[in-house]
Amino acid sequence: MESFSKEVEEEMIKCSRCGLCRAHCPVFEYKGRESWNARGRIFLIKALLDGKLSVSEELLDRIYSCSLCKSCDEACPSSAKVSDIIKDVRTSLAKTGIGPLEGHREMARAILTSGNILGEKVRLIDVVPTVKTLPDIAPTMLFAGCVVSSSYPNIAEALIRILRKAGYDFTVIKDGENCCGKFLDLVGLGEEFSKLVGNNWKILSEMKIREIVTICPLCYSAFAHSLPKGESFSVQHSTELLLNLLDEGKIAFNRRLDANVTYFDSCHLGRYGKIYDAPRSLIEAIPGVRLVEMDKSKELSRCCGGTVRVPYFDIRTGMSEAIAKSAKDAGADYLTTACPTCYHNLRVVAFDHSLTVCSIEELVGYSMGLIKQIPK
Amino acid sequence: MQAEVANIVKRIEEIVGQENLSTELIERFCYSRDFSFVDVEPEVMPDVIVWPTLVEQVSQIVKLANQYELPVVPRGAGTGEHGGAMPIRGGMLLDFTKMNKILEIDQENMTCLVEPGVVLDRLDFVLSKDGFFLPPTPASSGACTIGGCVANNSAGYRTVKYGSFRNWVLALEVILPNGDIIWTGSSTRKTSSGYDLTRLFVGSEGTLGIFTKIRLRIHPLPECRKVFLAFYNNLDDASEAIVKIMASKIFPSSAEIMDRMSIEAVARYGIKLPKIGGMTIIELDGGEKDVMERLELVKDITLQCGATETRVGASAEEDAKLWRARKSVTPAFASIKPNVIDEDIAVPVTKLPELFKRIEQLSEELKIDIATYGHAGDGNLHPDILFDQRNPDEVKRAIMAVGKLREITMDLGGTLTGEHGIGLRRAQAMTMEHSDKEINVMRLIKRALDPNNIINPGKMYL
Repeated sequence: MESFSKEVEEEMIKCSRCGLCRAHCPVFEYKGRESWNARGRIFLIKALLDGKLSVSEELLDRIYSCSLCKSCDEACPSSAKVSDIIKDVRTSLAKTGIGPLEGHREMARAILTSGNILGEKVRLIDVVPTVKTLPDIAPTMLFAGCVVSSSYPNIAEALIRILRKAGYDFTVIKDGENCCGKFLDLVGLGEEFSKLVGNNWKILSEMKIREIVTICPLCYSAFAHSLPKGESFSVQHSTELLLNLLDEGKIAFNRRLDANVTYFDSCHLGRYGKIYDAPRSLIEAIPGVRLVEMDKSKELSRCCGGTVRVPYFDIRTGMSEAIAKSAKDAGADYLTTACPTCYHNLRVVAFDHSLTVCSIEELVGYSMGLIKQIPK
Repeated sequence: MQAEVANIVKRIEEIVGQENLSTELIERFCYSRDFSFVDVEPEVMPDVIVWPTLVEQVSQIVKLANQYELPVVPRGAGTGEHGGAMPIRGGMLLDFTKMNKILEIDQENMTCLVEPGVVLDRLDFVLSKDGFFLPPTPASSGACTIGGCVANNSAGYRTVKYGSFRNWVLALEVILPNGDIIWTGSSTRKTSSGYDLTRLFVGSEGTLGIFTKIRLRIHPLPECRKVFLAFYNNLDDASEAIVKIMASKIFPSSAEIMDRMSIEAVARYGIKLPKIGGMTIIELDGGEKDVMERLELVKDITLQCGATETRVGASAEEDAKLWRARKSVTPAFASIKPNVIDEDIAVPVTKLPELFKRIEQLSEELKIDIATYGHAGDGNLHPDILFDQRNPDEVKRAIMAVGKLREITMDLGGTLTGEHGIGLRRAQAMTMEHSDKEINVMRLIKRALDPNNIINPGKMYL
């Protein structure tokens, strides 16, 4: 494997091997073995560079099972950016043709051929009824993302109803979005990601869009961190926009929900996007709701495992299980999230814990009387 | 030998199940290391890693290991800095991560019973819900396990008032090197019955037996805790303040000191601290009125000793943030210099000012950075030697600094390690502190319990 950039080498050196990442690595929480922890991964990468170990299937598992959630980055006393190191290794592996894994390649092919990570071209106008009512041209683009378009159009429906009620001037790409490509970036295919996000910027630019609102935190991360030079776009996550509308008095929450609600911080909205308070402020503004926090939240929240679901289904389920258990221990009736991927993964495990998983958009839509009930 | 190991592994698998064992190369590689700055060349890895879940399993596999004279190394979280959990002779590594149950919290008798793999902060969190705490608080409490803490007689920043782990362990379930299961001590709060084997096993660094259950005393949370910070132009003034506070019968629950580099490391956590030569952190706990009165006394002493600025922690949240930052000092140095050797010397409290002077002289003499902080109320300091492994000359000077530090400590009537233990890294230095006859007693105890030398061999100069 080729050596790293100087910056990444410096990050490697910062790891003092103290092991405090054991307390926060969600993959380690599930696996309980040192090689599946941030410290173990650093040991292995260093051994790979020093020639003490060579690439093997088992070693690749440790490299690609890291969900890049950044929990270790937050917990690391010497501020080593472990997620940057892992990403750099994945980039090197991709350059030499060793990585990414076959499952990742399939997903990459799906993205490149269909424009959607799930492999099927979806036209929002076909799956979200209110899309028909939106104008063709508007200054703001609501970007739904692959998971919402394919699997959870109910989230987009709720948000569109809310924004229309607020009188917000926006539209969507009715004939079908093209994936932002963030997933490719995470598995080490940075160049492919740059092309995809670049194409999206071109389309948005041609449509004279000035503001992008995303539902998916990965899309948020993709757009917010790749702003084209010389052009002034603003990128907002839906929870930020909803809170602004609430503060400006353009939306109001009238319907009560007498329940304990907890909020799960998505990695890409929280640790990557530093947005922790907007979703919580929205939840607390709903009459009757009591916001309860899980044992780990905000900077140190767990990860649902969505980014490692392929090919590590078991790890994803184990990681999501830990969140559901924590939500139940906190006394929550509802487990909310502002990320469609987390939404999907948490729904897989919530039933066993008698929890209702819902999105912030659904919760707000319900409280505004725009949707009849929160789907279970 | 390899065929024999394969045979033993097969038999271990029959005891613990395939899912609780690994012989994978990369797993073995990861378990050949811990927090200590000791890389054994050529690599020595454990032959097999086992994650036991039941007491009987531990007993059976240790018995098997003894039969085949296979080394057995117990391990908690691998957060020790002396190499105590490193399997330097290969063999079997027992990782207690899965034996992590809190079995009982007995509020009336103020004790708890836990398995060795319970993470300290998790126990403290559970205890706090019932209004209790476990006073010894090592810096690694977020990840370290109770088993590791007991094995190393760990301590931390509240030891000055409450003592180290040895003061809090009432009874132990121990697997002896021949596989026998025994209980030491008693569930009662005191006992005079027989040799105090509990105190012998606490701090034995996994060389005499392996813990499978631990009964600990617990303490009610105090009504009030206050943190008082004082800043000084130099460490002379700061250490003089500590000596006076300790002699004044104020009885703080923490009495910490930090030098300039340590202050800078803590400030990186978003805590506003001046760029200054020294700082003391005094924590007082107890009834609110009493704490406030003692706080005034502390303030007077620090000002008399030349403090240029003092302040009381604004809130419990701010204090918690400060303690979190304080706990991260050693690993945080890695962002200043890539490599750190964390020392753990302790001297009589009155010798602190002299110790600081001599550390400063040593740093100048060897032209190497030594950042010093620690539990000054116990006379226990962590002079951390900062260096870059890529610079051979600096490595040489760093190693020299360790030796000189130990000489200074002995000269001042101190001890090699206040709370971290001997392990691998300090093994050769045992003769500096202990006479041949004393070491011989330790070796006789080791041989009596572990005649085949299978439990954590090669540690503690045994």
